[in-house]
Amino acid sequence: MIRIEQLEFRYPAEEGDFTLHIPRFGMASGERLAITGPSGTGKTTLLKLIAGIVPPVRGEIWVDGQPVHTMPDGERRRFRITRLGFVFQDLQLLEYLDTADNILHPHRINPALRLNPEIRQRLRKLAADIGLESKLAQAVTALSQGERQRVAICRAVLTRPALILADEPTASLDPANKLKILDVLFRAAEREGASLIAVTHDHELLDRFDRVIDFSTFRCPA
Amino acid sequence: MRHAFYLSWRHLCHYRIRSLVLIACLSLMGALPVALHALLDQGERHLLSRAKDTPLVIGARASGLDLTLSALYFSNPELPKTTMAELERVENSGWALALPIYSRLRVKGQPLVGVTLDYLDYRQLHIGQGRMMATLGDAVLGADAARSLGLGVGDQLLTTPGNLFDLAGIYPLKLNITGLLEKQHTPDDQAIFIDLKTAWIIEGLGHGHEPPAPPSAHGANPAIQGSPATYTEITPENLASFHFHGDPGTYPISAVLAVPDNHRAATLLRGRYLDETQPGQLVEPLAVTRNLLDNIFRIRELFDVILALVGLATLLALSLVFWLSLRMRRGEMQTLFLLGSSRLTLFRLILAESLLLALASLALGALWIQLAQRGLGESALKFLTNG
Repeated sequence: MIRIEQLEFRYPAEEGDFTLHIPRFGMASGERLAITGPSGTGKTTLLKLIAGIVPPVRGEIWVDGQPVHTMPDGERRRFRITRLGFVFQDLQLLEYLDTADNILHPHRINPALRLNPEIRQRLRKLAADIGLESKLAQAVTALSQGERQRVAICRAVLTRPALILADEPTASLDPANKLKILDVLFRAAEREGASLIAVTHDHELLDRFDRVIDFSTFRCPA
Repeated sequence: MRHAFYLSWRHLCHYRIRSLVLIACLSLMGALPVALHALLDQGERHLLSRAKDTPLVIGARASGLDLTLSALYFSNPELPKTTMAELERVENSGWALALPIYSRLRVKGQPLVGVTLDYLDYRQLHIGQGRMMATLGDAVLGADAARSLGLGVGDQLLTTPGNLFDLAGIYPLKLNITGLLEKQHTPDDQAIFIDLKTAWIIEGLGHGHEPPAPPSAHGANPAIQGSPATYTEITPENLASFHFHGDPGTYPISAVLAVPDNHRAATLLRGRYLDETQPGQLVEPLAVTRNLLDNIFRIRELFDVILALVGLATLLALSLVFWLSLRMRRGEMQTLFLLGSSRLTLFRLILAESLLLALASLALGALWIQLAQRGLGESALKFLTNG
């Protein structure tokens, strides 16, 4: 699913003069991978590199057989929205939209994604599956943190991605809710047949994953 | 673009106070100059139309503008009076139809105008309800005057020193409302029309009273018993007792509207009033009105410059607000970018929101203009003619 060779990324000086170097990394299709490690070690940056949100300085990133590192901006964006699902650390929900519109939002802003009755039907099934059915017409500001996490997960998997990238999907939740949200994420990934990479600081959740990587081993200080 | 409009609509609805303030500012900015121009144009049309319908006005020598405004709009009751002799002079010339107007009286703020029936015919004032005034003490009301006073056919209206313009020489008289005029959208709508003679009775130039009592059995002279009681109401029973004293040629009027038979007659009539030592003067309302409008237009040009500057300042302020709002929405833009939005999509969203704001502002601005035209059209005319 993912193959990374000699990847190097450097943040500019004003953003901390940070360099990330990953000599080699691979991930199989359908695998559930956890990345952990101290803050500021580049875990989120790796997710953004894989998603094509930021381009590498050098090295290769292959995702689902596609060379993300050589794709032009537009193609990288199209690849991201059609093949990948991203659960952002701060969820990135829009408070002026209700739950359903937040989930459907990528379909409204990306010409590559069609918003048709089939998608709306999928939304309803997905929402029912992860316990959001009665919340679809509610403003996201009226939802609990756990419900907001579910909305972000629902939005990420609605496009049937091959790979789900989740950045701290259980952050700011109590232990019981952390497990529930992780279950939701695993179930959604399994249902879509997607691979999963989740960045997490929660060590008690790590044994639920197929593989855990301590991210500090990839980091080379500038 | 459909989704862009939908998302923008949701955004505007969510931040509705901010959106409404923006829409109100934009609409007012656009509507103010348009409404002002529309009002002035409307006022100009009314003024010119009234002036064109009144070829010549003759009155006492004073400001030509005051004479025109008094004769056409019944304003300025303090204007020096002319006399019926001036009317007779015009009539005797045979060059023009002469219509006397006595416009110095007021009742409850409405002009009480003494005219002859010829005036109502000339202005094509038709009775909508009731009948035309027929005898002394009868009055017909313009449509606005009737609404403003809350009076209808069969009601009475008392002229008292307290509600007339001039305390001196005003006698209380009950006017019988015999008819209401159809609305004309002219200053006649504001007026209460009475016969010229009724106006003179109110001025104390005519009156009716009980016949002197016959000498008493003791032979006392009625002249030393005191004056006979003066009527304050004209009824069929006492109508015959009303009479006037003095030379009718000295009776006051505010102005004479002169409608010349032809161009030659107008020229001859104008020639009669060229001598500035004469007590009377002749003015052409159209020329006077055009002169007035020229002054107003000069003010309008100044207004335009001020409005343009205010509009520019408002536009800059709104642009700043919009720009700051976009800066505040940087987080949202970042979200859109992370969710795969292209720059073109972001541009479309901003464009859609701007278009929605512009459309709403246009609609609201059009509403402002409509309201201004409906609500302030006649007020603007009153302001122009009374100011």
